[in-house]
Amino acid sequence: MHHASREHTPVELRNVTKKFGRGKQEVIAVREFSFQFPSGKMITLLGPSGCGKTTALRCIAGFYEPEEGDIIIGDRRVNGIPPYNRPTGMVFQNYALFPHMTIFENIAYGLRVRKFSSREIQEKVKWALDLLQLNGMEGRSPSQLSGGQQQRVAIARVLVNEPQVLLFDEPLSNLDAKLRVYMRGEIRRLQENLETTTIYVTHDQEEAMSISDIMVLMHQGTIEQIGTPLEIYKHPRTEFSAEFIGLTNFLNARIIEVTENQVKLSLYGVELRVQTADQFEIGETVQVVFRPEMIHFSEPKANTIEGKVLEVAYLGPITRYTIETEDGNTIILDDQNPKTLHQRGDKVSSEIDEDSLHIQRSQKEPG
Amino acid sequence: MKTMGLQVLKEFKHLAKEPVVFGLILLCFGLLFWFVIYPLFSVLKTSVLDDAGNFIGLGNYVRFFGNPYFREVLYNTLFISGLATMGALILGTIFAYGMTRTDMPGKTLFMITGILPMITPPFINAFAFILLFGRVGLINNFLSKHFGFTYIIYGWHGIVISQTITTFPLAYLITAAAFSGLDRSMEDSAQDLGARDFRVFYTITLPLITPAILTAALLVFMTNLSAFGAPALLGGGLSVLAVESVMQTLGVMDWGMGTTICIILLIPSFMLFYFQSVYRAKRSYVTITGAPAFAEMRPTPGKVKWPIFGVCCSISLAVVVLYVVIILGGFAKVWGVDGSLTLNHYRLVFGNTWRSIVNSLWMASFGAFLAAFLGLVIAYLVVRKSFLGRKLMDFMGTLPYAVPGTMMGLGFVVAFNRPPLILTGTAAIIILDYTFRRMPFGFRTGISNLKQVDISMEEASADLGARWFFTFRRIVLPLLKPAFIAGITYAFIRAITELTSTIFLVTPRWRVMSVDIYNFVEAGSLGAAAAMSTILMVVVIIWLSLIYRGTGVTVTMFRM
Repeated sequence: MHHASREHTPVELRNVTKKFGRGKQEVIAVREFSFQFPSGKMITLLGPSGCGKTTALRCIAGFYEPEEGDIIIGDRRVNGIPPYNRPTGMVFQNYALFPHMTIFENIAYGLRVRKFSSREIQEKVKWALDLLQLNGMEGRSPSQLSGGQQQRVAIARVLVNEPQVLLFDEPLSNLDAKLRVYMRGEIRRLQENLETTTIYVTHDQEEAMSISDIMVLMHQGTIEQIGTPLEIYKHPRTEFSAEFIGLTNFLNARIIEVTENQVKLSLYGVELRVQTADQFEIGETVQVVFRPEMIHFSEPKANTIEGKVLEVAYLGPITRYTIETEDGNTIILDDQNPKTLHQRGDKVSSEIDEDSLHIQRSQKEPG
Repeated sequence: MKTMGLQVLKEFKHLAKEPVVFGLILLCFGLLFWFVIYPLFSVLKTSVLDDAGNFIGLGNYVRFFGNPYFREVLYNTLFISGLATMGALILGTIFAYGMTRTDMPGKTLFMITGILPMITPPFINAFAFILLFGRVGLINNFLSKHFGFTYIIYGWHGIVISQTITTFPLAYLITAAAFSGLDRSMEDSAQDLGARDFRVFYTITLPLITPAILTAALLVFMTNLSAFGAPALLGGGLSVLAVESVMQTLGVMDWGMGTTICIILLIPSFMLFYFQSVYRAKRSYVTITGAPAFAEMRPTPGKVKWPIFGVCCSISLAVVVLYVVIILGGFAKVWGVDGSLTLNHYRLVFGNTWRSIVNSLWMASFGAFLAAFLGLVIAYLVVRKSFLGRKLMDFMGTLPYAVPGTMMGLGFVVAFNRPPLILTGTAAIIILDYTFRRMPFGFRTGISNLKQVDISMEEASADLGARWFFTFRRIVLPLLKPAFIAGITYAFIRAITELTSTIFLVTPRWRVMSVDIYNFVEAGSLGAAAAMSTILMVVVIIWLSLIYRGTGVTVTMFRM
């Protein structure tokens, strides 16, 4: 059976602001959110709890009405249009399966609303059952299904209506770790086959990185950074981005030479060359950002950073060292060579991988 | 069989190490047998004996069903209770929906009017109806003067209206709890799949709260079946089972028939309980709520909101009018005849029946304290300790809740007017009736509180070297404080407003307010009844606000 949702539908939020409460209790959950979600892609809204990601999603679905801004699905402004008239399909965190209906009736619910003939309903439900490998489950009730199966039913119930936009609200948070990894792969494969614009909310950075075309990192109601998983991973623009995506080192360095597209800087007397498009001036202090795997032990030589091992943690494939530099700063170093075991208190030298460095103007963390 | 014996032996050995617990278990079993099982059994026993005490089998039952008058009474009871239950369910569900699912104005006021009939004597609005629609009722006087007709409230319709008002709060509280416990994402999801408001309501919301509506139906129906005050005051020659059992015993002294009627009254209750448990086992919807970060009330469409608002306003207006009329009644010289203001009724009430006020206060307080305390001790034993007969104790602790008040009162009379323990005519019998009749509430509250408290806290205390009693006093009791306060408040209000079982137990020496009010109305002393009712309501409101001020605990007035 063919599936008609291949028509591509972009979603756009323009300056969307959503507030809750009034007066002193007012909370701005989403603040001036603007982004065009490209059609046919998998876009995740990622951030810690309370960052506004679910609120943004619920604004798109129509459960919340934003105070300001426009929501555009396809070429239609949908502000004020109730959820039942929007071309979106949402998978809820707790699946929200109707406990008083069978699996078949759950999946057929949206079709019955749209008054399909019973033959069409049979066909379409069959298609959804096949797609999600739920054959034979149609007569059961939701409580007789495992968590993973319930999740599939929730997805099938949405897909059968051929929504133009798929919305996922932390769909995997009720599953155990192994199933979570499996199901996110499934969801990604489905999305790639259907090429439906999909907006996926999660607080799990690993989950987001593994399934997204584009990640929208949110913090305190605003967009912190947008990019592909690799871009955000390699070049986190802010300390928040860097820390949320994973451990990162931030060290202060001084610019000593500026040429076109490249600066030379001094970090503990070590001279490093970094490619950058931004403009810096000689003498300016900048932050050098690099991940723990982008620094490695070496013999003491001209371009190495000297320090003392403060902590050692064996994490299986890698060993994570916390190294104290001579001026009291700390550097995290992930070592993948099991032979180079250092002890606490050892004096060590390490070398930064110049190519993966990233620099930014010094900034203070908000708050 | 052998393993079971071993198990029992092991439990016994375990308990032997905690002599206090062992003693408590024996004590609770003794009390429950003596003050719950024995009185109820006495009722059953009396119903199969003749006046001389000879066994006559089902003779009384045959006499009941063979008599057209009694059959009529049975039919009246079922018919009136059925209608009142339907009325209460419809009003209660609409009220609950409005309060939990719409953004209609006036919710704070509605909350008060939705609770008021529960914290006042259940028959008090029947009395208010007499003040309005009785033969000298305010509205009837007005109607006959200007329009030449009257609506006399006496009869089945009067009882139905009065009982509907009395019991709708129960239906409201139960369905409101279900509405607010309902996972919002179910309805959101249905909307997302394309269903409009009305469709969402009847395909999702209504089916999901149906179990709660059935529970409400059961409890409301039981309350209506066992109602005594309103049918007795408004019957106007028509009788129902609860009234008839009082008439047969206190009136014509036919104890065999009175107890038989009690047993018959119990049958529909037990049947309904059984059906409900079967139904609930089949379909109980446990939903895990992953509530969205902000639960926002979306604007309710006007065509839904305003009709519901209208219904809520009408009920609230009716409730307010009924209570205002009672307060006014206490100050009117001769109700319906001479409307000039007077304090005579209060002078009379404080003068002649001062003793009833004092009795009511201390006996209800004492009984409520015992009810809450005993309920918690039994709850603790049932939840935390393992012993032979634990399930039986659980059952006995809940039983008084399902038993009509008339049966409990009658049971106390027939059980304790003869050796080995003679209590009739004492204050003790009234206090014990309050205690055991209201203990189930504290018991169930205690159970649910204890189940929420992790046992590891008690284990930690034991691990730190505390003996059982030390742990109980320092860990368990403080954690159970809210349950205790809820239990004692509920028991106090229910005891001081209680009429159906107390009416069997009062004597001229030990009179109480609720029975006095009833007697005043029966005797036509409407002014005195109104004054006494007002005093009783003031007492209840003071008690509730003291509890609230002192502890911040708000009390739920029902427990399933």
